[in-house]
Amino acid sequence: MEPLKLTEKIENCWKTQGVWSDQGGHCERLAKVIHCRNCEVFTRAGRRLLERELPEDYLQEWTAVLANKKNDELIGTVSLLVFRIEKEWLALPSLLFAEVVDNARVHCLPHRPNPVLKGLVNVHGEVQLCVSLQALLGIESCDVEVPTSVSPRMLVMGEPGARWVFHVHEIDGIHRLHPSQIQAPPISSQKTGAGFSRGLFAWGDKSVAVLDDELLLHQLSRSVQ
Amino acid sequence: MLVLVFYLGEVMYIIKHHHIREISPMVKLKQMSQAPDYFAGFFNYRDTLVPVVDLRQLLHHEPCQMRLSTRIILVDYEWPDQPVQTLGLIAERVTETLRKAPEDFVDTNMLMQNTPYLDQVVMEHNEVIQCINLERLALQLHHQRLPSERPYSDER
Repeated sequence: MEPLKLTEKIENCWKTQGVWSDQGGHCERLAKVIHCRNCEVFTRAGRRLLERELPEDYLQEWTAVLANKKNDELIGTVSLLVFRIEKEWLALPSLLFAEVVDNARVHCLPHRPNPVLKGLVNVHGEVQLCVSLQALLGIESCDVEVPTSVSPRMLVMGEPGARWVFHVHEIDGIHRLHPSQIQAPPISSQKTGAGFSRGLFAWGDKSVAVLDDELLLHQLSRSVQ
Repeated sequence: MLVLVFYLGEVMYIIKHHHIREISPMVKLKQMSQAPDYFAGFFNYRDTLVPVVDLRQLLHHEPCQMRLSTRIILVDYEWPDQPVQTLGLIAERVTETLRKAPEDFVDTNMLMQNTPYLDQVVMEHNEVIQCINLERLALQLHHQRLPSERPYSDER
């Protein structure tokens, strides 16, 4: 087959007597093939388009494209909200959270000396239970120097009707991680809240513990009964 | 079994899909002086250097014509005692694939010394299509690289 020049005309019978013609199809072949796209002539014309000589810059463009490494995005990443309580960086699936609110006053419950249940808090006019993740996980208080731009917040998590509000000292943000990036927690870990952590991952210079959300919610409901 | 169809001049060939990694458009290759003429050059393929062989030059002693359908077939291959390497093969009219049952492949029972990689054929519409055996092709190329054992000029 001789190379086709870019300017060469290809017989476009599909437009003159095929399905894309003004009068509708009246080609003999149509009765057999139903539609032009099933016709050998149409296929051959398409193939012949690829028999053209290389356009200018084609080689350069593809050389540049294929010289670059392929960026394979990992499939199946999970979204995690990363926050800090005292000096512990923790993460929970971001789907678990309803919103982030400013610190509000907590109203203590009388005759309930429970370190986990701190009291009630007003979130947009609704009364919600305020708990202390710090007490539940057993995180010790300590002095951490933080920039003034960092302000403590409250996180609201759980389903409507079963909401939990808790204080955090800092929110880092939402990060996407692939499960393979999360390492299993060391079995001998004496780290606070180790029983609740599903794994660890390194984020910049910090080591973040991913909490087991099911276990956490279960323990929270138990601790306020 | 999926097979890739391509042409070298007017002759149709197929290769089995197993070792094919990717089909890439034609790119600029870094040519080497003193290299055999079937060696088209090095291809900077995603930051690795891949040797590319002009199949038409190797089999028919004339270079592939530069058309849009002329492409580089990238195949993975294990050289003996070495990790997996990638090899590029330039072929013409790389536009189609076919499905063939394993029993469609017929051994020719006639191994040429220079082309041991043409060991099977497939019948399609009463035409005989030659099947290129990638393992043997890579092995042949590997041997041709050793100049003392088999001088390149004697291969012809």
